[in-house]
Amino acid sequence: MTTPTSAKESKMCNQPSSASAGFMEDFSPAAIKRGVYMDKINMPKRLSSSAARNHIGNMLFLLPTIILFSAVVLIPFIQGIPYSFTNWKSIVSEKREFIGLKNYVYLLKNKYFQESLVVTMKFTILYMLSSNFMGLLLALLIQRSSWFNNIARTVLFLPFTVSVTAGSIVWSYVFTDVYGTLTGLVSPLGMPGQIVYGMVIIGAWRDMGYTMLIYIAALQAVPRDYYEAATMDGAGKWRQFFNVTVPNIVPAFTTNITLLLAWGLRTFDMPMVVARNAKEGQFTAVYVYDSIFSNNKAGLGQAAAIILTIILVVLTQVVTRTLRRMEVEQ
Amino acid sequence: MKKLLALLLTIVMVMSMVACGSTSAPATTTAPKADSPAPAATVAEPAQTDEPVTIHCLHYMVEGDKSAGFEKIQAAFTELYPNVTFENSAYSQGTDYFAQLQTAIASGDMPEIMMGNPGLYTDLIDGGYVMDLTGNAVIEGLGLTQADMGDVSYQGKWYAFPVDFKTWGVFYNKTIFSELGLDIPSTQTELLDICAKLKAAGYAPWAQWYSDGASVDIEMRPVVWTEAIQNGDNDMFEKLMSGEKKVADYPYFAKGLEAWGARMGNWARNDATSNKQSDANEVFLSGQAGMLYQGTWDYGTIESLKSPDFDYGFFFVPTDDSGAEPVMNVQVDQAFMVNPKAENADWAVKFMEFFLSEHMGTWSDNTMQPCITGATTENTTDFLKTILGVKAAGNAVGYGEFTVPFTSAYTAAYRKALTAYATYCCTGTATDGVNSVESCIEYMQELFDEEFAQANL
Repeated sequence: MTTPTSAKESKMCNQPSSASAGFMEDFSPAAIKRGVYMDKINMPKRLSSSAARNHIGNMLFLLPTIILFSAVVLIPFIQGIPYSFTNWKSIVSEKREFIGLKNYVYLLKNKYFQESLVVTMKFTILYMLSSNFMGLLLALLIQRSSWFNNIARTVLFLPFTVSVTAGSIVWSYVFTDVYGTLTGLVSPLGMPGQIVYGMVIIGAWRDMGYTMLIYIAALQAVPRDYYEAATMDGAGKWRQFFNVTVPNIVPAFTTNITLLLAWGLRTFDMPMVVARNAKEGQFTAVYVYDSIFSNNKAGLGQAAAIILTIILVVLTQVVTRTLRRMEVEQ
Repeated sequence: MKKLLALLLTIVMVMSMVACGSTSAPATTTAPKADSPAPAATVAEPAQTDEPVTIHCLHYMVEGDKSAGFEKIQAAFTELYPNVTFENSAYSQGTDYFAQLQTAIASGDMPEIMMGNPGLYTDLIDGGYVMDLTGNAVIEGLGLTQADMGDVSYQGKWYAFPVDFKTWGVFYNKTIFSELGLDIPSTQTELLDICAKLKAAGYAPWAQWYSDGASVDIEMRPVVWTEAIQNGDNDMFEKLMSGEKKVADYPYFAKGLEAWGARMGNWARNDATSNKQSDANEVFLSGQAGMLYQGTWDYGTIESLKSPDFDYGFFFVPTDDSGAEPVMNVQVDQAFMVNPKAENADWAVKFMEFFLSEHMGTWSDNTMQPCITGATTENTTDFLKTILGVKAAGNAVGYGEFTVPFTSAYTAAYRKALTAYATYCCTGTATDGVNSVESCIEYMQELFDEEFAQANL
C-alpha cells in the first residue's frame, strides 16, 4: 500500500491515514465501502468519472459487434450443443432422442472423421506457415515508405479483398489452363496427393497481403536505435534480423499465427468449390456440412462441429500463450 | 459526441437485425411440427381474388435457359391471373440446393413450389412438407408410364408434377469423325478403336468432367440400371441400403466399372479429374476432344455455346460387343413438388396444372429438353425428336422402375467411390486404396457400411 505524501493525496486515494493499518482492516466492510485501494490483492481502483465515461463509450462502440456475434454465432452455437447428444436426422424433422455421448464416441473412433481432421490440420499448418513466410518476406521488402512501396502494398493486399469462392474458381482455371498447358501436368486440384498443396497456394495467395500489413506495422514500430546499436556492435544484417527484428515483432507473429490457425481450421468454401468429391477435400467443416445437410445426420454433424470448435479453441490458446511468453517488453 | 455516435451505431445495428428478422420470420417462429404425410390432394380451386398472391419457387435450374423457360410460363400464368406473382430462388443442386431447402423449411420460410424428385426428399415427405398428388386429374391425364410415375412417387403415392426427362450418351464431333473416317460405333470394341484413332490423330478421345459427381454416376448407368432392371433386380438399391445385400452380390457394378474403365483407357486429358461440366463443354466445343459423355440436360447449353459451324451428333454408348442397340436410360429431370404448408399452396397447384396442361411445348422450346409427355412443337429439334422416338418405342429403362432410389447420402457415397476409380484410371494414382475394379467395389461397400452405421446411431 502506498503512503500518501500529502493530505490531498490521502483524500484522493481514500486511504487510511496510517500506513500501518492492519491486514484485516483492509478487508473490513467499512474499508471496502470507502473504496480503499488494496495493493495486497490488486483490487481495481475506483475509476474517475472521465475514465468511466471513456469505458462506457468504448463498450457502446463494441456493443453492436457483441450483439451481432452473440446473435449469429454464440447463441446458435450454445443452442446447438444439446442436439449433439441426440440422434437427430433431418433438420426438418422434430424426431430426436437423447443418445448421450454416442455421437462423440462414434466420431472419435471413425476413420473418415479422423481423416478429415488430418487433412484439415495438414492444410492449416502449411497455409499458416506459407502465408506468414510470404507476408513477412514481402513486409521486409516493402516496409519503407516510397511511392513504389505504397502501390505495391495496395496491389499485394488486393487478393484479400476477393472472396475465397471467387478466388478459388479463378485458381482452378489457372491450374488447369495455365499450369496444365505450360507444364503438361495434371492440375494439382485433380491429382491425389497434391490437392491440399493446390489449396495452400490459393490460401497463401489470398492472405499473404493481410499478414504483410500486420508485419509492416510491427516492423515500423521497432525502434531504429536498436539497429544502430547493433550495427555499432558489429552485427550483420542476418544477426540483426534474428536478434533485433524477430524478438520485437513477436506480437505480430502472435496475431497472424493465431488468426490463420483459426481460419485454416474452419476452412469450408475452398474445398467445397475446388475439391468437392475428392478425399482431400473432406475438411472437417465440409464433414460437418455433409453430415447435417447431405446425409441428414444433424445430431452427428453438430457433435462434429463441437469437436472442431474445442480443437480450435485449445490450439489457439496454446499457440497464443506460447507466443505471448516470447514477447519482448519495449 | 463519441458517446452519441456510439449510441446511434448501436441503435442502427439493433434495428437492422430486428428488421431483417421480422421480414423473413413467419407468424410462428417455432420449428414446424412433424406431421404424418399430407393426405392426398383434393385441392380446392383457389378463390378468385384481387388480393396479391406470391408463389415462392425454390429450384436448381441454374442453367439460364431452363430458368428463363420457367419464368416465361410464370409470366403466362400472371397474364391470366394478374394478382399472382412469382419469387424464384435458384441454387446449384450439386452443392447447396438441398441445404437451402431444408433451412428454409426448418426456419418456417415455406416455398410453395420445390423442385426435385421425391425419392431424394423423403424426410420432407415424412414431415408433411410435400403434397400428396395421387389421383391429380392433370397428372393422370398425361398418360405416363409406370416407370415415369415411379420417379415422382414415394411408397406408391405421387408427390411431384413431372415435366421432362433426361438421358445420357455420347455427343460427338461430326467434323472430326468425318475427317478421320469414323462411324458411330455399335460395339464396345468399335468405340475403343475410335478412341485410339482419335488419340493417334492428336485429338483427346473424351472431354471428361470427373470433378463433378454426376459425371461418374452417369458413366455407370447404361450397365447398372439396364442390366439390373432387365434381370428383375428392381429392389437392388433398397436391398443395398438395408444391408440385406452387398455391392459384390450384384455383378452389374463390376461390369459397369470394367466397361467404363475401358472407355477411359490410357488417353485421359490432364484436366479429366479437375474439370467441371462447363470446362468439359469448352474442351468439346473448341474441337480439342472428339467426344463428350454427357446428359441431355446439357443439350441446350451446347446449342447456345457452339459456333455456327460446329457440327455434332449423339449416340447411346455401346457397353458390350453384342451389337444390340443400346437401351436408353430414362429419369425424370425437372419435377416440382408442392408444399401444403405454404401460404399459397392451392395457387401453386393451379400453376403447375396450367404448366403441364398448356405449356409443355413452351417449356421444351425454351429449354430444349424432351417433355415427359412427348409433346413437340414446330420448333422441336431433330435431336429431341430422336430421343422422344426412342423412348416411345420402348427401348428404354427408367429409374422409376426401381422400388426406391438411392438416398442422397448413399448417392454421395456411391459417387465418392466412383470418383476414386476415375482418379486412378485417369492419373494412375490410387486414392483410398482404389486401384482396380475389385478395390473400388470394396471401397463402395465400406462407404455404404459407414452410412448404415450412422443411420443406426
